[in-house]
Amino acid sequence: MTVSGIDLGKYKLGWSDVEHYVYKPKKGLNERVVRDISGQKSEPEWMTKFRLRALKRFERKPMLEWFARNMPSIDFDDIYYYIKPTDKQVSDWDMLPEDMKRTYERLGIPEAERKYLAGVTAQYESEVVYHKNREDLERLGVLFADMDTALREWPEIVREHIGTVIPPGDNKFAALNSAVWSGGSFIYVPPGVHVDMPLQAYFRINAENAGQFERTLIIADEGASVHYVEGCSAPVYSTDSLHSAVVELIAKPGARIRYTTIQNWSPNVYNLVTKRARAEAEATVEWIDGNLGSKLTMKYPAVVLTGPKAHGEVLSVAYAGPGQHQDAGAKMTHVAPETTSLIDSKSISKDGGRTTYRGLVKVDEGAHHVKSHVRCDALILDEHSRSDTYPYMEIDEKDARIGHEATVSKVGDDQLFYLMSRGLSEQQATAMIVNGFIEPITKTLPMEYAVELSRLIELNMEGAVG
Amino acid sequence: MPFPPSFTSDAARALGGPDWLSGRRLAACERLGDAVWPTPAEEIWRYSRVDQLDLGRYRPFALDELGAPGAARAPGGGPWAAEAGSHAGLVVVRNGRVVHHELDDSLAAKGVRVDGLATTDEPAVREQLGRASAASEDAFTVLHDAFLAGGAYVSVPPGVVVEAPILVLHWSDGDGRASFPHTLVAAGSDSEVTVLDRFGSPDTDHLVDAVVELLVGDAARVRYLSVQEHGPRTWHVQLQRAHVGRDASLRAAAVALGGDYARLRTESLLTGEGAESDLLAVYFGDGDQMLDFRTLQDHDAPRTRSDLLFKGAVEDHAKSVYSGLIRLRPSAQRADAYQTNRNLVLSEGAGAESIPNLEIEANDVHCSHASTVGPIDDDQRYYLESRGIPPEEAERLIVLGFFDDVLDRLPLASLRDRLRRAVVDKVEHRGRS
Repeated sequence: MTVSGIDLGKYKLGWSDVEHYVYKPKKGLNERVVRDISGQKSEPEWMTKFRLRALKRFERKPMLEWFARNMPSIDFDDIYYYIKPTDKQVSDWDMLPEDMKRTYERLGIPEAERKYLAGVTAQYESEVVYHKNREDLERLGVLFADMDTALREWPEIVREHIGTVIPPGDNKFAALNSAVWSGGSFIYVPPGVHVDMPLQAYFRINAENAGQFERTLIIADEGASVHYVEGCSAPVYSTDSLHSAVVELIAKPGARIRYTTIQNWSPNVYNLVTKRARAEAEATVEWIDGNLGSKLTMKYPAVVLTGPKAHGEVLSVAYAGPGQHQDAGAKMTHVAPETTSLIDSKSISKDGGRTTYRGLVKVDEGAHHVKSHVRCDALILDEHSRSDTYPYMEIDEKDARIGHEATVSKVGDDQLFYLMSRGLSEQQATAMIVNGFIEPITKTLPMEYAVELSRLIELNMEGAVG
Repeated sequence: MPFPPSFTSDAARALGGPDWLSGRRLAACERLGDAVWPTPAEEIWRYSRVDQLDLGRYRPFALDELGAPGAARAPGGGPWAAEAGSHAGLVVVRNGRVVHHELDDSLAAKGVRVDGLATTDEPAVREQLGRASAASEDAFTVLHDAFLAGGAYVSVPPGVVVEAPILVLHWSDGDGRASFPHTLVAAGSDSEVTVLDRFGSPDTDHLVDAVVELLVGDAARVRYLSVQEHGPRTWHVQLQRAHVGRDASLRAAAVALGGDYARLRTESLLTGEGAESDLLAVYFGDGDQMLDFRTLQDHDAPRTRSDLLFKGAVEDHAKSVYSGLIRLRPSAQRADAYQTNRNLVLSEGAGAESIPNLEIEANDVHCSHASTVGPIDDDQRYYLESRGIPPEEAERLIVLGFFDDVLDRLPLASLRDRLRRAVVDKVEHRGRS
């Protein structure tokens, strides 16, 4: 098997637009920058304080040793923490500035919205520039907006929930996000309401050395259900950008939230995201997590199962090509009895890429009759690539049934032979096997996304074998 | 960290033995000055109780307490030697000092050696000592090297097959004391040997800091069993490291039942093409025990194979930790590596951590791991109870059945019944309390 590298040109979303921003402060982070961001947004006093407290936490918190090992070169003073691209948000597509509109149209938005989605938000740099919600959802009382709008329109709901799943002091990057957050999605689904079409957001970084710190909060009230889908991309620059989001999900009793991410950041983005959900009694939270882009992703979607019979799931696919490290995983914390969780992770590494599964299943004392199963499968496509598995289990309850299994393999010669003997080229056969390998995840995606994911993987696989 | 005043270079120098060994101790004493004492913040010590160890409570033995190297003070080996059945050789080690050794004359004539490290001057032995353990140095192994009084030495020349097992019996005794047992097994190319290391102590507040090195030459076959049955107040911290050569095979098993905190770090480095390593363990913790295992299957050659099966149970407030790593280096193409850890949690308040890790840098490999933590299976219990077996008896049978496949694979057949009984005693609470 011969191997050729993927050039950056493969990254199809790597163009950049000319910058003419309304507001772009100096690089670096200090109290003045934080007050500036809060002032630009005319935020209530409590939010300014929330940010400033978080900034102190960020400054005090040491970088975790294994974080530092993964990214020796990150410089927090060389980043733009807030860039305001337009002076107002629009809900009519034609009113967007021409270059931004072109960007999103090249990304397939809002074409997807017209066809299929219930509502869509597009975030460009730090601010949401376009937002559209379907009227029938508004009639049902579903609140869907960007976080800044939500803070203005429904401050009580935001104040009651923000930071309750991921407190600002949770980790260094959550503290950073809490200090400088801007944009992100806010969704509130009233009791018993089922949103039957996915809600979507798309995040785009354009400027060099920019940081994007969106903050997303989704609340599904009792018995409600919602599916949220996000996509991400950025231009290819020679210097690095930082994406550090915080996503909090709250599933009240009997509610159901599914959160799908297809992350395709350009290979110069550090993607350090804290995602955590709280699942109350009999609620279900599913994280579906596709990691294809970025230079380094460190992301471990978590579900804290606080109510009896709650269920958490993480299904993830990671693909690491040249120079990429996908350090992804999942975390399940079983606090309440009879809670169940499932983690299914598939990773593929190629051309020197490195995939890491890092996970934790924790069962607190008193959380009896818990069941959890973790499965990780890794495919390594050539001898330059690497795969690691670090699954932690901390079980403090006798009555917990916990299983973990993992495999690491290459594409089987017998499988290749079978397909090639039926007329497929080696490349087609390999791509088909890889798509079969991730099929358990893709089949849970809405069809458009499943097709996109398969296509992205095929694209990345081109030139894999010859 | 500053070591407690009792662990001085004067104390290390006063242990006697040949000059090379004293020199080695003093060199280690110097390294102790820079040694960083571990904390649970380090990954390899995560979940451990190392922060509760107060080294100031212990002091090393002095020469007059240990006796001079070579002075035979315990002929025969007592009931432990008798239990193990027929054997080809025997070393009795008390508080780290060899106090008795014996070997079949016919094997001695073939060049087999079973004796003590502190009574030899041979360059070959000096070169072998520390060859494996140096690669995994930490504060405990440096401390071990600084106060290494002697220890058992087993060497089998190339091509020699030793049929009956060789027994090494380590006994540690004395409140507030630390001892440093060592076993070095060097199996020459195409040789074959079975070694039993047995560690024990009475109900004494003692720190055992042990190192076992297994040097398995090309095409050699080594079977090794380590049994740890310390008293309930003894701390046991052990490194066991094997280097396995081309086409050689190691089958190493551990049975860990005793101690207050007992840690075994077991590592196999497969250095030659076609090398194989099988690691097995049985552990049972009760009371407030903590049994702590760290394993490494390190493949550094093509077509190497390793397998690991660790099975344990915890009861009362006991905790167990299993943290294992399979590392396939880029050179390990066409390697197979497997790792399984299964844990039974038998009471509220007991707990088991299980962390089976993989680091894979070669692509043409088969590698998998599995681990489980859970209570006794309700279906199995129901099956037995529905046949009239009382609940407690059913539970006992299920626990014994759980361990049976590993017990059946232990290298020393003669000890299997004895060890099965020791497990039964633990299950029936006759062992400790």
